[in-house]
Amino acid sequence: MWRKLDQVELPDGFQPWGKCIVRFEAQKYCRTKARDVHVFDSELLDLIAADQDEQAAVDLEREQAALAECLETVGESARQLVLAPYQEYGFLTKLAEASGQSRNSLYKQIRRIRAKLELCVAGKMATPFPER
Amino acid sequence: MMTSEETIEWRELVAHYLDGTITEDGFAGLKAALRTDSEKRALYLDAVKTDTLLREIAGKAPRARPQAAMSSRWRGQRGMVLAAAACVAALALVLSLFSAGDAAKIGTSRDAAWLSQAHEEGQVLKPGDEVELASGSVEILFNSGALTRLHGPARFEITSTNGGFLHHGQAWARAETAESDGFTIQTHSGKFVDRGTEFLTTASTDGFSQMHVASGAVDAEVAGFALQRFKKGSGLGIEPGDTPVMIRIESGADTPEFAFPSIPPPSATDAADLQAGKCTVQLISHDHKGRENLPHPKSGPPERLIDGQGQSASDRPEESLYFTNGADGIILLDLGREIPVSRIHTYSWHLNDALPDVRNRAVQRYTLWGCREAKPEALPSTENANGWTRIARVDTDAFFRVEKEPDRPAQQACAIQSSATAIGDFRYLLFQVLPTPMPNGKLAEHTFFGEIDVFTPSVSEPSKQ
Repeated sequence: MWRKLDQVELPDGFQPWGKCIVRFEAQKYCRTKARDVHVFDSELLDLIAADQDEQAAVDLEREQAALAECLETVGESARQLVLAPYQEYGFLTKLAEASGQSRNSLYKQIRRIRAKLELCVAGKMATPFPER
Repeated sequence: MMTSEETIEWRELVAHYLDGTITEDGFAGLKAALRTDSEKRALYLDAVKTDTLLREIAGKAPRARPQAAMSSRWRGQRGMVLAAAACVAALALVLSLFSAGDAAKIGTSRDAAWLSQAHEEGQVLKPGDEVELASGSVEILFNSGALTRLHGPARFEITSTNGGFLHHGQAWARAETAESDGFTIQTHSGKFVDRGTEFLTTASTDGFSQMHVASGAVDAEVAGFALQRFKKGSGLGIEPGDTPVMIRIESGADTPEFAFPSIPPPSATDAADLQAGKCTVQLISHDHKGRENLPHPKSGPPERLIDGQGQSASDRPEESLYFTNGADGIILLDLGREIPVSRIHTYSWHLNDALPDVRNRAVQRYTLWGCREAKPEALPSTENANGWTRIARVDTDAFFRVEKEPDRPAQQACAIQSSATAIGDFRYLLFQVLPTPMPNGKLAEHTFFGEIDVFTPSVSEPSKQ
């Protein structure tokens, strides 16, 4: 979705446009994943997209910047690990084989880093708590 | 509203879906929940958003590319070679950062009842390996030299040569070698980094965790909070959630000034104060189990809690609020209107004038709940919140590792704060106060509370003395 931001020329139309692109990307994602049959039907996608539409507009640029900042705080190894699933296809499997760990073990670690990043981003998006 | 445990389980399921590791049953459950539960849909959208943002960030990472000046004939072949080289280089980089060699080994165990897999002394553990105990204890010796003793029931995962993840249970840790500096115990709600010390971490299955420093210092990393260093005798608790709540507990100097290391003394200008005229205190005569309890005949009036000052000495029942021995006591603060609450402080002081070792009425043990304008009819309980929002669970004896009376600080303060601007918007704050169990069949006795302060983001706190 964010890759397509530069295609938008009407800033006031962000919400409907965002909904449309999210849906489009979701469907595309489902097509590429069709081999594992775990795809949502269009009815469920509509429901999720409606929720997305109802959510208050979020400052995505700020959120992405916050995530980038949070990534700097987790340490280099955690940063590399959490970004590993987005490398070339099969990269994580190779990493698992090379490191002598199971993919599940790596995913568990990745999930924990993601959860920590989500909390970190939420903290940054909220007004900072005054330090005494 | 989902409980913390349900939230953790749901996040796990969504992660499996995004990772492509979800099972058929899991996927069916995911779809069913997404169709019917808007709260779960919101969490799902958050996870998708994080996934997408991470993908975007990963895509911006610099990658090796074929040289633009290369001839078209060679570009394809060189491109393939360089792409393969880039993949190998990336793999090597991650591997170099993410060593998966032996990380620790099993030490001595005592009465250990293993879950899922038995372990023998000397058995090697790698990152990702888990140790699960139903009961008993086992030592884990990390390659860094750090030592952890796990007390069951517990589930602990090795994450590196110098740290682990405590899913639930209790883990005592000692890190004395130079290599073990920075030894880390992580829980679902926080990360505790050793700075040459001994410390104890406990984690509940619902995500609540506590840490207490036995010696030296520990840095606590909690999402949304600045890094905080805790020294010997201090500790903290963390209530999990989208906005974690941190509970800091400190012992005072046993003076009427109520001086604490970082928590300020009682305030007369907070949002719950008689002078402002908006806050009232009510005592509820029956707890959620229907047991009757009201203030002790020698207790001061409830307004003592909002008069802006603590007790003038350590054994002043008439300047305190405390309940009759036995059942739970319930304090309801009505702030007069719904306001954003950023911090809550509670203070207690008790040391028997005649028997200085007796401090049983100093401990603070309570669960704090809040609600907005519409106060639910029913009281909250562990099983059913009944419309209340649980803010924090406090047990200062657990923080101070009190095993016998003289261990217990006589003067105590507890500060509850959020990582966000406010813990939440509340009109009513309800304290379910537990009494202190007494030996020899005596009825449990209640704490001498001296003051409760409530701060909003717009009310400045008194400066620390």
